[in-house]
Amino acid sequence: MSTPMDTSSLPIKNKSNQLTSTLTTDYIAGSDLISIEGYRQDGRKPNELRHFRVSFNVVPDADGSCYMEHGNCKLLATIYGPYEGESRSNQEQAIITCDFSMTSYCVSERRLRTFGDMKSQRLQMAIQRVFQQAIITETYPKSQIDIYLKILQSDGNDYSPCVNATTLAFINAGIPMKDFVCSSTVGYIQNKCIIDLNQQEEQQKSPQLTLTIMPQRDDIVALTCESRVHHDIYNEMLDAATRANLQLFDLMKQAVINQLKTVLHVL
Amino acid sequence: MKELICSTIERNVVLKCIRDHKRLDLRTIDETRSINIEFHAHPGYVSVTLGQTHVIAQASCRITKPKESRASEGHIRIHLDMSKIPLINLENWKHQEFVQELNGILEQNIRHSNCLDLESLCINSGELVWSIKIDLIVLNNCGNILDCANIATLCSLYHFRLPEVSVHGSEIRVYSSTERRARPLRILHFPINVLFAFFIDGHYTLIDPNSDEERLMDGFFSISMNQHKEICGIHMGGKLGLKKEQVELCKKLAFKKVLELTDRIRQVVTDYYKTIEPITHAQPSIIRIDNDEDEDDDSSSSSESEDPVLIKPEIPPSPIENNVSLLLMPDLDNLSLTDDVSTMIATNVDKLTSDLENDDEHDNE
Repeated sequence: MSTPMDTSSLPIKNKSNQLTSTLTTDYIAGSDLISIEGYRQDGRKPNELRHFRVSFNVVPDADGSCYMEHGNCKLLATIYGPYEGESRSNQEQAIITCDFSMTSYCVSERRLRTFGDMKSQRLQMAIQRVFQQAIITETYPKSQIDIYLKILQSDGNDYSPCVNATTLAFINAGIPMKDFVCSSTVGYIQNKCIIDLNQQEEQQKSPQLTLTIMPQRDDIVALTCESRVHHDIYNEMLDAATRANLQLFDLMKQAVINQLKTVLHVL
Repeated sequence: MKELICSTIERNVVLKCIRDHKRLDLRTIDETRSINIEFHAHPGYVSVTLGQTHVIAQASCRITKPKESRASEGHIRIHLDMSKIPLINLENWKHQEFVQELNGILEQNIRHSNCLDLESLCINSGELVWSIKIDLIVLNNCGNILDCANIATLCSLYHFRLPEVSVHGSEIRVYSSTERRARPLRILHFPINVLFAFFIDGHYTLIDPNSDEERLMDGFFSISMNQHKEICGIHMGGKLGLKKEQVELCKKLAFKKVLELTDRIRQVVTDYYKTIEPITHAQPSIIRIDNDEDEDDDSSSSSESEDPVLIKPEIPPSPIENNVSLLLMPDLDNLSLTDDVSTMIATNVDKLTSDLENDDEHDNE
């Protein structure tokens, strides 16, 4: 059932050295990640996001909370704060801490180590940095804001849905931010840029990029590219990621407006 | 990456200089500090200084079982070790984070970009592969450990020599460096890291910050590129909000640096081996004559004198010696191992190489 690669419509880019050519072949035997008609394994087009659903005020005790379903990735973000920090805390700004954990049933094989491992720590640090930049921390001196993230079901990349959910939770908590923070991943498979990778597409050895931006200010807050990709392909991926983030921003804004409408009974 | 204590005067002076596009050590904004690369007799040991920042690296190898999913690929691991002394001003809990972050970036740059051909490390597919580990130690921190450590890793990999191995059916035989010349690792490309520091809400950029500048920076942006204009990794840290044009500019600057450095690394290692070659391989098998006779009789089982070595598997592999580690080796009775003559102790590195060779005759039991 091997379908030939869909390269007839696109010019083949021969920019890389023979020895170090970027791997664009798939590791799935017999089927391509993008079929000849241009659909991915889960039926999406290359520039389509996964199904996005949000609900707010899920945890009544917290100051802000958001339950998000992004494709198969389901997670819960809660915000506690701002509250009085420790006596040694920063005198001019609020301190933001992040705690990330997964449930043991979030992946297909039961996971024993749900918090404190390398991946969790890196994610915690990354999210704490991003929001230290995005929140207007000068309005809450000497205080502390806690972010709690819990992954209920994981589908590959956790970082991007976490960032998006945290943004919405902050909005729900009413904490002033400079802008929304949107994040999404982009891959390059079979000479096409595909956005919003799921687990299967992420496990390929193809180039990937994770971009976190503040869409209205047009600022790149975090950019991670962990695979070898040629200069020009990288530019393409960056453009595709920006477009994906703008799409995501529209969805998030719409979700917030809908929430306001239901709460305030405003038409 | 921020240190706790920085006086207001220092901060004001440095920021004022940066606003005028000047630096306190008279460099331009896109000039790196001078890099000094030194090798010693031991393959895989390199000491790199970037200005005053000093990092040493040592590569070591061992034979292990491969992963099930990748049966014909070897492993590579990078471990960065930093005691508290170079980071004495950082808060306690931030030290751990800092080291982990650097370690993560280094590993991703080298591993995910496929700079080393892992399949060339395979001895017996599914059973035995080489596993390379690089230990990095930071001796002095004067800013920009990341670039220094990256250069040290690449030099160490390029300098390292893997012992020759011959496979006889299901048994393998590892040769010491005097029996058969050890071969270099297969490196496909050199991913070189360039660090940019951003100041004052991301308006001003610098390459290669020294310790004062690193203390005051808002955040850093590190790009790893190779000379074929491929981006091997990008990482951002700190409180940064960048525009796309700034990212483009950084990439262009980084590429220029990368070209210079790649040539430099290649040159330094080849020069070293040109000077060292006539000395190490002058004496072929004179040292090994008595052991060779034993070995020739039964190549499948080890000789009398080596049995105690094989039976005691709890000898930990010291990262300094270029020994093949016997830990984690499956099927020990099928293995024949010749003692590696070139085991050297690091304290001998001051003497000339010819002296070292003579010393080893006595060091060997």
